[in-house]
Amino acid sequence: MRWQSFFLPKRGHSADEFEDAFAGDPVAGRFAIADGAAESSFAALWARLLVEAFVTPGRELSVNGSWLAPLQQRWAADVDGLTIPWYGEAKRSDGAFATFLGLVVTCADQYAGGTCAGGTWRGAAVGDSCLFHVSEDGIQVAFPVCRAADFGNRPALLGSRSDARTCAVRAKEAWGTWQSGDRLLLMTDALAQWFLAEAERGQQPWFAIEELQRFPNRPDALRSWLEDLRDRGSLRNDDVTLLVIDL
Amino acid sequence: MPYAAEISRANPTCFLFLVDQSGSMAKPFGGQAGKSKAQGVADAINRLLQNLAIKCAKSEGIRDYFHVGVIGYGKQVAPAFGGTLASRRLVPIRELADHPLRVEERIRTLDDGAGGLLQQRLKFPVWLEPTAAGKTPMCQALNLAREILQEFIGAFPGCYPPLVLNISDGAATDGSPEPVAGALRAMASRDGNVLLFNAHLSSQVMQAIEFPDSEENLTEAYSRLLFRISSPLPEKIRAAARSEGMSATETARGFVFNADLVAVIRFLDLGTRVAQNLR
Repeated sequence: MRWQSFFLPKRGHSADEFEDAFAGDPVAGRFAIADGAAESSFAALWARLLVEAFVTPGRELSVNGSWLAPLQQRWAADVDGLTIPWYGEAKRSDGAFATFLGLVVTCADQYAGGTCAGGTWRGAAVGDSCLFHVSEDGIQVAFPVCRAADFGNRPALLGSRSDARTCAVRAKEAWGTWQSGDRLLLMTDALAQWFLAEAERGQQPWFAIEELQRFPNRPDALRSWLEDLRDRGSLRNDDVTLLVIDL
Repeated sequence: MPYAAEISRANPTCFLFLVDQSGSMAKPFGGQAGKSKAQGVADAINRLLQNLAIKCAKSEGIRDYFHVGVIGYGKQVAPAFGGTLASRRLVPIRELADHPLRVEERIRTLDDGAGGLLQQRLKFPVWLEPTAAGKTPMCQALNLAREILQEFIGAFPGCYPPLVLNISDGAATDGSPEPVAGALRAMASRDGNVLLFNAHLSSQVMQAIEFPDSEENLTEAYSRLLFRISSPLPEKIRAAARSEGMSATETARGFVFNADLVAVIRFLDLGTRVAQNLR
């Protein structure tokens, strides 16, 4: 299993204003992305806490209250002591918010050499961070959003101060089987919306991503591709995160 | 499509408040017992400015998505900020947030969810003091607004259209505001026409009305006049209003009666919003 990550801040924002987060552990087969909500504060920190906790080996898949509660405590411990001006206090007291997608990939058919012929994946999602399972026949699964028109600016969110017990209700789960040669793509909302819109109009957007993978250490290739899409109005101006897992 | 421009630090928009400070504002406010209309207006403006600042707040400070002005009209027609902001027509939101006249502490009582009550201390910054003197030169105020916005649109021609929020008891004393309001609404950035919203504060104790689509249920002549000079709500704002359970039909206008316009700030798009019920 090989994985690559790509990310680019929203146009007009600096790198330290980037509020998406991602993490991956290919040995454990665990990956996650999160997208801190623009209208909340300390959201990048919250997004990072979520993804790092999720990829820790040995955890359950479930995004539930008992998983969330200690992360909420860590977030609060980091921000509650800070001295901030009056206008920062309201959002701090509301808490930070983020969408989230976690993925666990397991191998069911291990060859002697360590490679894997196939297995299962399971995903958990809150909001509109997305997973696409792509095989040579195209998109097998889009989760949790299936149509480009279904993205809005009020997705479900995980809150750093929300009642942790309500979270289990909001998390959606999905699973599937994969074969060697398939790919799993994790994307935050703007890129996911572009990806679905392209597929809906008969294009094969996964080839553009394959092309991108040929330049893994070239942030300028990613930037020029995304800026071009933004210029053409095909991609909303937002933080972008993309994880590609080649199975 | 108009009203689609991204609001950013490079391409900010403008909030210009017009505040009735005439003598008639000393009369009681029907929307809140024990308060004068002048106090009602000052509270409303301070709350609006506070909400604008909070909307732009991020972990690292505050982002200049908005330039903000407050024009008072009464004894004179002039910028109404005091202290270090005195006489400034427009101020970037960060500067505004850093320079209130003072920050008061108020106590809010909340349901604790377990049958008890919870007291929460809230910071309440004050930029505007209640004032009530002189006549109601609303037309002059609308003209000054045009002058200020002309300059703003000149500097940011692709901006999300500036929003003018006029808060008054409606009785202009320098002529009918309809023609000059029409001229103000005719101004435009590349993204659409200037939005003129009105809040009518009345001494009548009547239920608040928000974003109506006709004059039918407005009993006061001044309400009807202010309704007529209000812009239709852009589609995105209507959709945001509906998502919060407010009725905002296709012909709804930016007018409220004995209510505030704070919701308008929530409805502007600065990226992923946190639904009210998640807070």
